[in-house]
Amino acid sequence: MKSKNTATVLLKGDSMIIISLWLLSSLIIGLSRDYPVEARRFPQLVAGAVWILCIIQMTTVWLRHKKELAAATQVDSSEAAETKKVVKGKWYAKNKWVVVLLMVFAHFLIVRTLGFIISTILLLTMIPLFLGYRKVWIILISAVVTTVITYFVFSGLFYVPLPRFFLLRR
Amino acid sequence: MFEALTGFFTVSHITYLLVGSVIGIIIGALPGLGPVFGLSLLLSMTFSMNVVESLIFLSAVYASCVYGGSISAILLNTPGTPGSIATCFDGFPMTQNGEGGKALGVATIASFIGGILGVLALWLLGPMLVKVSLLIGPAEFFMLALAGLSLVAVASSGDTVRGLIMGGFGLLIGFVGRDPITNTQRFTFHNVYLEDGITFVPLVIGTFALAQALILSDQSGFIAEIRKVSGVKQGVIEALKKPISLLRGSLVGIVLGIMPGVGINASNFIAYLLERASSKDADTFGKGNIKGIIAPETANNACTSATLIPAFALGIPGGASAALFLAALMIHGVTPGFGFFSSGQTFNIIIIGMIFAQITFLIMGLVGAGFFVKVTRIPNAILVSIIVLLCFVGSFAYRNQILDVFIMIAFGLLGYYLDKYKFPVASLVLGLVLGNIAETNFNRALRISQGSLKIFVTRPISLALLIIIVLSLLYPQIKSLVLKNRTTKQAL
Repeated sequence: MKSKNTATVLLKGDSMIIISLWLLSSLIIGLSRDYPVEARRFPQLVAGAVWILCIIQMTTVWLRHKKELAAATQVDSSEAAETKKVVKGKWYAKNKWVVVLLMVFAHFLIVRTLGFIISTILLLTMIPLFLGYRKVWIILISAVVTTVITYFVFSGLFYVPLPRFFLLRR
Repeated sequence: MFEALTGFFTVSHITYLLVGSVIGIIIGALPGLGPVFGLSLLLSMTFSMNVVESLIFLSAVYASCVYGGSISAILLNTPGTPGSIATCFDGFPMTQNGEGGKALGVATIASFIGGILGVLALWLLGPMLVKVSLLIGPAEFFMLALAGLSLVAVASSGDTVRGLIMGGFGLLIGFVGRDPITNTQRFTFHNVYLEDGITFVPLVIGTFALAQALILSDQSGFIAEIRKVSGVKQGVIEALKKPISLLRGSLVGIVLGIMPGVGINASNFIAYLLERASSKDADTFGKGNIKGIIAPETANNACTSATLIPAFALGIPGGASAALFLAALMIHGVTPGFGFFSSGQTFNIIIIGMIFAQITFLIMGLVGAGFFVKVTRIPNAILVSIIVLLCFVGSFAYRNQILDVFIMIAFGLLGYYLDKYKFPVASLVLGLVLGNIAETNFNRALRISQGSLKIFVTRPISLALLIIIVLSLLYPQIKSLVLKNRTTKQAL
């Protein structure tokens, strides 16, 4: 049986995605009004169907949630303790994926300035260190070797123009 | 045929076969590159070859490339080519269960059998299949795409509404860019980048690979907690014990390969979903069922040869890869058409070369599997950084556009959430793959009928397809009603 905490979390996640898609389909219906018939017919048809399906899904989820809440046990004490423990820790330890995603985004922002090799070696060193891997030499060697091999395979062999350090650009 | 066989065994043919296979496997296993990239890059290398050498080389690259995509799909949940997306669904869970070697064995033998059956279809049925495909017009194509889309209900068994929403979301993403019929800009907000639409490859890499890296970030240890790696041989034997699945997947690949514009992207998905729908153990799909690897792998490799049927027989390429093969023919002054099929020795040597291309990647795959699988022994902390690196180069290399990397990151975030809340990502990708085919043919059919929807029910093949779609959508409901009635009767 699900606890109240689990039921609420699932409802939140589900709803967030479904409401976003409902808004997106509404936007598509609105934006496509001015397009020629052939350009708007199919998008409006699909967006209309998604719009209706989202409402059906939201109603179903809400009804199911109500039923689950009624049937749910009291908040599981172990789960509550776990939540408390996590809340006590640093936010980045709780959400490692967020930090990794931010690092990937930072890499995307700096890669055109620092070039592929420097920015990628930095990224490949930072991620394992952040994830708790402590063998620094292995991290450094694997970061340099992987980056350099990738650069030469893609750039040299497959002619993919990976970004270069801004001072070395011709 | 014996003369052709002896004619095939020359040093140059074997060398091109081996070199093509090695390059193909590498390009296939690296996300973002894929067969079109590999073939277009290597086409220039064939200028100095004769037509037979050139087609043997390109066939080896193409077949190995499509096979190579399954290696990263199985081991890293990162499809090397869009043709291996469905392989991730059961391949990666097997890797997590310590069965990476077995999964690679299954994928290698399935790819080989699919490839061989595809070449045989090209050789024996080519001209006939082309005549059949000519009976299919826009109305039928729309219905075929709709039939593919109706599989989202299967893809999301137990939660059809969420599956349909995801399928619809995939279609909505596909609407961004220029409309295929009127060339009107849609949902681009006057952004030049969006005029070409949201590119498929970065989207897939983000949704699958980056999302997987983010999931692994929260887990310490290794991908496979079980350190013992099960045998490749065992995978081969188990796959061979599923002849129906091998045949079904190959057939789907051949049929869809002949259809213009469908290709490996859709065939691996459709084969997977059909296999799941027709299996008694459907509930084990997504948890490491070998049939979930057999179906997409046979289909994508069978599709590689089948896509060449309309190209070789009619000179009409069904997709970018077939167009590059056609270019190779024309560069060497060979005119495609019925005459090419009946050109005797030359055509037979090419067919034998294509068969040996499958044998070469089979051997290389089986020998290399034990080595590839070692990737699962890399700690997650290091593996996350390697996957992230592949995500970057894969999405960038596709068009050399830095904004594709941004799309990949955005869809990585979306993929993470969709995975967390158990939304069927397969439906999203299926919607995206088939959306363009569905819309283009829907509008074309309506143009032909001057806006009348009757065209979809007055053409026999279209009507038959419509009936199949309705029945397949109603089947779960009918089945549950029958079961309910039976249970009530038994209780009474």
